[in-house]
Amino acid sequence: MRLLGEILKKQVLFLFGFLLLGCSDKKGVFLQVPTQGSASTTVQYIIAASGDTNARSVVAYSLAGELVAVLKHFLVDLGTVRGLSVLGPSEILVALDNTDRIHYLSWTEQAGVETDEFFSGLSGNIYDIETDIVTGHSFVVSSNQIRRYDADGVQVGNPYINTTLGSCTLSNPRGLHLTADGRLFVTNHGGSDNIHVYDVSDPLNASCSSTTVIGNNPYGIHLHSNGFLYFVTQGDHQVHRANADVSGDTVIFSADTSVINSPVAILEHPNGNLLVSSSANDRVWEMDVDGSIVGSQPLIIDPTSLNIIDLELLDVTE
Amino acid sequence: MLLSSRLLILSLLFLPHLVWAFGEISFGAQLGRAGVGISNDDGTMAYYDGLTFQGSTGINLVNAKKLSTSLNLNLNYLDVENRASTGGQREAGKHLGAGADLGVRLYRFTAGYSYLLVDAKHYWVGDTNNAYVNFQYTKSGWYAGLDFNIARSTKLGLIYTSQSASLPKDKFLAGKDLSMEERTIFIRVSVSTSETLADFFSYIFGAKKAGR
Repeated sequence: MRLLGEILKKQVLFLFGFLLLGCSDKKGVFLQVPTQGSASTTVQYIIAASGDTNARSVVAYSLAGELVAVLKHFLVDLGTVRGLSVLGPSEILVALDNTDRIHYLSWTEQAGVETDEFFSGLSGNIYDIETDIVTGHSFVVSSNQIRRYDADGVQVGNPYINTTLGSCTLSNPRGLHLTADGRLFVTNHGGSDNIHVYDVSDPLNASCSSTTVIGNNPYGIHLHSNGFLYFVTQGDHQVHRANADVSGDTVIFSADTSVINSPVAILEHPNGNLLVSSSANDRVWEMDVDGSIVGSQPLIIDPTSLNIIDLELLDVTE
Repeated sequence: MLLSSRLLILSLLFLPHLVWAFGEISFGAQLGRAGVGISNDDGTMAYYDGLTFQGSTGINLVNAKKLSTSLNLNLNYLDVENRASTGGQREAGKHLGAGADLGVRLYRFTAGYSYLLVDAKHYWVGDTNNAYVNFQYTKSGWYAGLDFNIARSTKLGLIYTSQSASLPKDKFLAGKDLSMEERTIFIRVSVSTSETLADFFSYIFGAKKAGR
C-alpha cells in the first residue's frame, strides 16, 4: 500500500507538471489569413449597392475604382437595394426593400455570379444589413426594429431589438456596423438623431449599451482599424470621427456639397483611407482619416451605380 | 518462432469473437479546457484557448481486477479563440473530429494513444480581415490521467492530453505544413454497462443472446 501511495503521489506531481505547461499565457499573433501574401488566390473588390430605383444594382469595382462587373440588378424581380453584408469570401447578402427580402449572391472566377433568395418574411422599411461571419447571424433594419436571423434564415427573437430597448429608442434607423466582439452600432436618422450601441453577443437577449445624441441625420457608420468611429451625417453633408464609445465627436469634413452631397455610406479602404458615398451626385470619394479628399476626382463615378447607399469590401476567389 | 506466429494468427482470428462475446461496452463524456498553438509560415506562433467536448463508446479488450484495456471510438469538438483577438479583430476556430483511442488502466492510473480525423474551420472577422478557411487534418497523441470510482460502474477522471498535427500548407497558402500542438485538461465521466457487444446487439435486434 505504501508503495502504491508513493506511485500515486508521483503520478499526481507528474500530472500537475503537465497542467502547468498546458496553462501557459503566451499571447502570440493571428494565424496567417490565407488570402494574404504572395501566394494569394483571392482579389479584393469594392461592392456598391445602388439604391436608386432606376438602377437597383449591386456593382463590383476594383480597389482603384474601375468598374469590374454588375453582379446583379433587381429591375425585373423588383427590389430596392438598401444594404450589403459580407457572408464570407465571395459571398454577400443584399437587403432589399419592396419586395422586402434578403438575397444571397456568390461571385467567383470559376462559377461567375450565382444568386438566390436567402430569406423573406421581412416587412416594413428595410435598410442596412450586417452579418457575423462566425455564426452566420444577420441583423437587418426593419422600420423601427432590428431583426436577427440565423444562418438558415430563421428569425431569432421577434423582433430581436424592438423599438424601445432600455434607453435606446429606434427612430428611422439607417446604418449598422457590427464589431467582432458583438457590439452593434445603429444610426438613428429620425427623432433626436442618435447613435445607439447595442450588445448583441447573446442571441437570446440584446441590450442597449449606450445612446448618444449626435449630428444631423447620421447614416453610414464604420469602426476603423485605427480605433476611431467614423460616420456620415446626411442632413448637413458632413463626415465625423469619434471615439469607439461615441464620445469626442469631431467633424473632419464639412459642407462642401460640390464634393459630398447627402452622404450615406462609409467604409475603410484596404489602404486605410475612407470611402464616402455622396448619394445626391452618385459618387464615391476617397479621403484620408483626417478628412482630406484624396485626388481631384471621385474614386467611383459610374452610371450603373446611382445613389450608392452601402459599400462593402469582398474577397473574391480567382 | 513458428509457434509464436501461429499464436499471433490464432489470436487475430479469435480476437473479434472474444471481444464480441466478452468485451464490455462503456460510454464516456469529457469536457475540457484546451490550449492550442499553431506555427505560421514565418515562424510566429498563434495561440488559442477554448473548450472541448468529447463523447466516446468503448469496448474492454482485457478486464482483469486492476488492469484493463479498452478500444474507444470518439467524437470530439473543439472550439477555440485566438488569444490575440481584440474588439476590432478576432479569430476563432471550430474543429470536429472522429477517431479512436487505445487505452490502458492500471489501478487508478489511465493512459493511452488517440487518433482523430478532423474537419476544421477558422474565421477571421473584424476591421482588418473577414475571411475563413475550411481544412482537414489528422491529429494524434497520448493521454494520461487518474480515474476514480464514484459509483459501482461509474468513474470520474482527470485526464491530460497532448496531441499534435500538421495543417495542410495548400489551405493556408504557406510554404510548408503548419505544425499544431494541443494540450487539454479533461474532466471525464465514464460508465461501464457490463453488457457485451453481443448483448447490446441482441437487445437492439431482439435476437437471443449469444451463448455465454
